[in-house]
Amino acid sequence: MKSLARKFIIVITILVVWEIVARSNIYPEMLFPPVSAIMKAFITTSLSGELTSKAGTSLSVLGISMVVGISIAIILSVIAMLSKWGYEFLDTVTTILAPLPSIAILPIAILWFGIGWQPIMFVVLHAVVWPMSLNTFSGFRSIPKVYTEVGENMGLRGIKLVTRIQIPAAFPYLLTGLKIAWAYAWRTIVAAEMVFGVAGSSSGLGFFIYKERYALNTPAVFAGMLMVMIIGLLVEEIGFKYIEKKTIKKWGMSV
Amino acid sequence: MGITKRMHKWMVLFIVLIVVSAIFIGCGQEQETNQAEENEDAITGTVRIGIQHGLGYAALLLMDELDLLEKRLPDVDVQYVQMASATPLTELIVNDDVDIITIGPAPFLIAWDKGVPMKLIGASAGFPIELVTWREDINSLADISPEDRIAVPSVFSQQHLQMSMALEEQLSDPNKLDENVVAMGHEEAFANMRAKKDIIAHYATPPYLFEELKLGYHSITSAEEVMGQYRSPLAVSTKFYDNNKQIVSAFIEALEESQAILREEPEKAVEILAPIFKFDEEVTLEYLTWEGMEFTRELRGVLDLADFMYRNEFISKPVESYNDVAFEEAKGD
Repeated sequence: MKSLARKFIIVITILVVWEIVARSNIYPEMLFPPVSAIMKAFITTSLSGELTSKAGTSLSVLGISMVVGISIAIILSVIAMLSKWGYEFLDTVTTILAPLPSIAILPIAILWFGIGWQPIMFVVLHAVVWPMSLNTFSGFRSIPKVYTEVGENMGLRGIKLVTRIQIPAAFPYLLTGLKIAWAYAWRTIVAAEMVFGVAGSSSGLGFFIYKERYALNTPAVFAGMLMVMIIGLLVEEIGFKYIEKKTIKKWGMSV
Repeated sequence: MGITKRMHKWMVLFIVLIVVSAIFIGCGQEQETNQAEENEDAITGTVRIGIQHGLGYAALLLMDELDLLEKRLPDVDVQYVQMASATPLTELIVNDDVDIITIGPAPFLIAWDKGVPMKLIGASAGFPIELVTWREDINSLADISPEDRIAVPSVFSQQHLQMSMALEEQLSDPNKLDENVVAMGHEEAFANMRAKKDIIAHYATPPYLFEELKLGYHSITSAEEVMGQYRSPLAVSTKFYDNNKQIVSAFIEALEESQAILREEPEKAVEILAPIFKFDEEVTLEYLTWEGMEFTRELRGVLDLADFMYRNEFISKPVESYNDVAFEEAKGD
């Protein structure tokens, strides 16, 4: 039996047991709604555009933050490669800040940036920049000297040397950094939106969950969670796996 | 074949584990129910009272400090828990972790609509709730522009719904300012208002309301305007009410005694409450006797609010009379 089929059966079993327990009325429906009610809430809120637009908001803030974060990470790691001071700076700051969960800097972020998307972006940046720069730096450092020399012999210089030789050579590290950064960022953004969700057009999935909790609409709370999971899985299990297959695996590199 | 067989074994174990654990958790709840039923004979047992923060809950805080309920029920374990808003308290009711709670009429109606087993037994106090702004150019809801942010304690809170009600009356669109609303605790909102940053208005309850008015900020709209003087309701879980009638009537007596002290001899209450609210005695007295502070058990405005909420689909069924949402002990308009 294939692994996928086994996983499928496990999921179906969980859902069936869930439905049976929920329908047996051991627990009030508000605490433990049946799967069918959750699916119904998921479909209605998706069709009405509410859930999907909230997901879109979260993803766009996240996307912008990731792009900015990765740019900062690349700049930091280039500086670290160019100078000893730069390296010590990156190493020290990353070591100091790494244990700090992004959500813990939220109060300071609100204090500095007020309410809105800015503090959310700030905490997401904190989630992205450190793992990404550390991995980018290690990636470039791990490139065997001979690769660069071969490239130079073939006449590659400057930016071409970076894009043709160094980035592909460091790619496994870059991809790992990207995966960690995404994982932190996605969890952080949902959590941050729940803490100081701004109602209306600028609010995301975290706020959806928060709002539905206050409406005592438990099936919709689960629907929001389901959306968080689905997006997470799509990116991690399909998006990253695809990139991996098209790059590292194709090039015959190990991760 | 071998793999399939092994897989079957694991699957069975897996299902059994889930079912067994689910049943165990269920049994735990069952036992609690039995305990509650035993309370019927003598007045023993436990009563858990959930309150919120603020001057409006002074009667319950005083009741706690003076042991007014313990005096009447010497053999009952009286517990008070404090939560930041009505929703966590409602969740405790659903989970059977608390018996009597303070809850705004709006969150109460949402909970009632969702079938949370509780009903009203009266009010803990009447107090002003007003939307206050520091911006001198804003004198009504119509003056608020799309980028101005308004702080309410949470979405679907009493304040949020009251503002919608005022919006419907004044601008014929209850959702006009939905995009402006920010969910923020009173304390944080007050700090923001004082710093005049981020938010331009705060739908405040006492003592924050009084503090903000003292800073020279002015009120744009109030509960009074849309539903008469605001009365903060008390709700009892239906199960507790059915099994503990005597505790409920003792609670009502104790509440009324506490309210009478606050009404008739507030100086006596101030000594006890000032340290709790962390104000001077003088300020505490000023706040407890502020115009609009009224320590009464009578409900008001619940039906008007219910009518508004039903028309605008915040709740799915209409409230025909107080009997739908309140026990017979409740008093109201």
